[in-house]
Amino acid sequence: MTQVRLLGWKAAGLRCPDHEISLARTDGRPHHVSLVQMPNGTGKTTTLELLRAAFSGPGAWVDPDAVTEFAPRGSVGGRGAFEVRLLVDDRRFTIEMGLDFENRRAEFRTTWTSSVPRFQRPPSLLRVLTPEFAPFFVFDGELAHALLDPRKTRAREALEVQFQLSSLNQFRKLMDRYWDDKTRNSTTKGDKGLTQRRNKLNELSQRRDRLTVEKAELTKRLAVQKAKRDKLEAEYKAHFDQDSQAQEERKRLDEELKRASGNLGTLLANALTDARKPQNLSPRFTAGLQALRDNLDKLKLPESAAKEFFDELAHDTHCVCGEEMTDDRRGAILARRDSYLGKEDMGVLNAIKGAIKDTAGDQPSSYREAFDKQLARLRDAVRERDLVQGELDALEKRRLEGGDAELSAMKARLEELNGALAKDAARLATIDADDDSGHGEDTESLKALAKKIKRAGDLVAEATETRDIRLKTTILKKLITGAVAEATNRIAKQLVDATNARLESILTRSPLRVADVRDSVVLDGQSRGSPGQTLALGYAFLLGLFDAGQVSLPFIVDSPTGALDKNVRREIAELLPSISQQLVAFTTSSEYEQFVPVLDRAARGDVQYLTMFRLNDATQPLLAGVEPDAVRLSANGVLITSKSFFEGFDSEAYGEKPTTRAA
Amino acid sequence: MTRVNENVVAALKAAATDAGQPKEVAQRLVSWLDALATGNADLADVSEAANRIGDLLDQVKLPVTDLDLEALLGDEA
Repeated sequence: MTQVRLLGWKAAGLRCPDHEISLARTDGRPHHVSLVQMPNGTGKTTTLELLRAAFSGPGAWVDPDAVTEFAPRGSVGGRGAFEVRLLVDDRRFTIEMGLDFENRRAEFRTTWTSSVPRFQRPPSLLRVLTPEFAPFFVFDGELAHALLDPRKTRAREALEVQFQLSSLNQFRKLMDRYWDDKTRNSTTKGDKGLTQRRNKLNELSQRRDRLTVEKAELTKRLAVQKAKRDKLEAEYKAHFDQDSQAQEERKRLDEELKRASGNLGTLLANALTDARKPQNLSPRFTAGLQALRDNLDKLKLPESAAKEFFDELAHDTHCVCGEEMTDDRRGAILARRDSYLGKEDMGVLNAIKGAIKDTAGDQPSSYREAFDKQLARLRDAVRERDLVQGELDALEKRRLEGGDAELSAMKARLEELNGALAKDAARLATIDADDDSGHGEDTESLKALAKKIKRAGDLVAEATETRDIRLKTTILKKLITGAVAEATNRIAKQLVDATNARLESILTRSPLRVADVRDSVVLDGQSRGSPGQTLALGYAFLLGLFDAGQVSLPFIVDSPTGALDKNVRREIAELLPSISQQLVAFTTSSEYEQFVPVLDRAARGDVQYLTMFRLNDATQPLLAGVEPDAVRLSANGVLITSKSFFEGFDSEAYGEKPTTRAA
Repeated sequence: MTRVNENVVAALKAAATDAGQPKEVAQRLVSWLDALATGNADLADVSEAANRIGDLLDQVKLPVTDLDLEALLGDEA
């Protein structure tokens, strides 16, 4: 359990008298009980509110007008300062709160591991040093009433903060944020998207499987048909050659066709190669390339020095100029080396310049002129091939018209086979194509399909991961909701039992019982209690809350017995020291009877007695006879650290000689 | 020993069991609460929270069948 102790506070320039209070004993640890007696009108409520505001942080100052309410009466502008010193698990934590009355602004500075100009709390106190929780340990009668008010949720808030249920609720919000962050770039978030993607992947995979089978069948059929066609073609030629004159002519034309086709193939390959060179397509391209080379020369690119040179130089003991290589010089060289090209960059630039000179360095129009001549030769070669093919077709036609029925039948069969072969080859080419040929998702290219299946698979994986995160965060959030409800029930039941047990011992004459703790404390058989019962209930409830919580806090209370009758006061006095390991109570002298002496006994004498009042003509005589060591004077107030003075002080006889009271 | 209240620990364990989740899920949540109580975690640290949630999600088991999922999450499945 994190231990938090209040060591003291200091106020200056505020509505209460300037003062500094130390709650520590000589061993540096705070007293178990500190009683601060202040007459009405001395700033008791102001001091308590300042403590509550300091523990609450900037969130307590949403209304700027609230700042001016702490300004000294009658003052205009100026600044006030309030400082709280704490021990958190034996480490000092200081909260400084500056109030700028002119600009109606509150400023914070905190010191934990270091001093920072903001309200930076130790992480273990993040939940309790808040405007919502501070009223539970800087307590007044209003909170006791709020605990019972069914329109308010103070009891549940206290329970959620003290037992970390608010952190669990915060986890749920963080999970929503996690989901948003994880799926921000996801193209689908719902189950519908996942189903659509799975269907798409299935459809593409099925098509791939079908096409793979079809390709195997086509390949096999093509091989069979090709063999059949080749055999038939050989038979057709043999039958054709039975006419010896036709045979000679065919052989001559076949030779011619072979040569013409070979020539055409060579010219075509060369033309296609040269068509890829820009200088052959237009003189403007050639001129542009030459201008690029000239400009590189003008810019002296690449340079004579590469950045690798500077790398090596930086690691030398001396610079090329002979000076010793210092760290500063080395740093400067390394910082500027990237302004120079690397060896690889220089090689590329030199290669570009050389290639332009070698292949496009002459008159720009000359390359296009040479290419035009090449194209003319290509056209001639096409024409020659077509002429020979035409002669061959005419020879075949004459031979077929000669009335050889068998040859005609063979020719028809051969054409039929070639047609089927061409059809299958075209289909195979479609299946073997490198890209989707513009068919997009409907492609029948296996290579294109493989890419699309990979992409579809990635999308399914993304949607699946997204779905899993959504389901898992939903399971976790539901689990946490159930756990919070269950923990609330368990804790509430324990709190109810503990509160009732304490109420039984406090309110012996006017019993009050708690039935449940929901948003507020629900009474058993009645909707409200008397002011005394309500205050007693508040103490009993908070005692249970602090007993079981994760942070042990000081309990600071204003007028602890307030409206309680004398009998109940004794019970409260016996109860209060056990509510917290440190109790700081602001009292008036009217609360002394039936309370302070009992409290002193209950706290085994570890009680600090402080009396504070404004210093003026009326109160000056009160200092007479007080041991000087027990008096702390400020510009407008006085603090007396004497038990006997505390006991004798009668705020109602303010300015009169204190009277002594018996315990 | 954890600083988390025993009722909270018990409720988390019970909720994990009811949801058919391994005990590690409840343990991770308790550890997170404990780290917050001791100042070793900060809910404002988004990156740290994301790491803890990622770790938690790794422990969560999804029901095998859609029917089981629907039984667990109802309309949220």
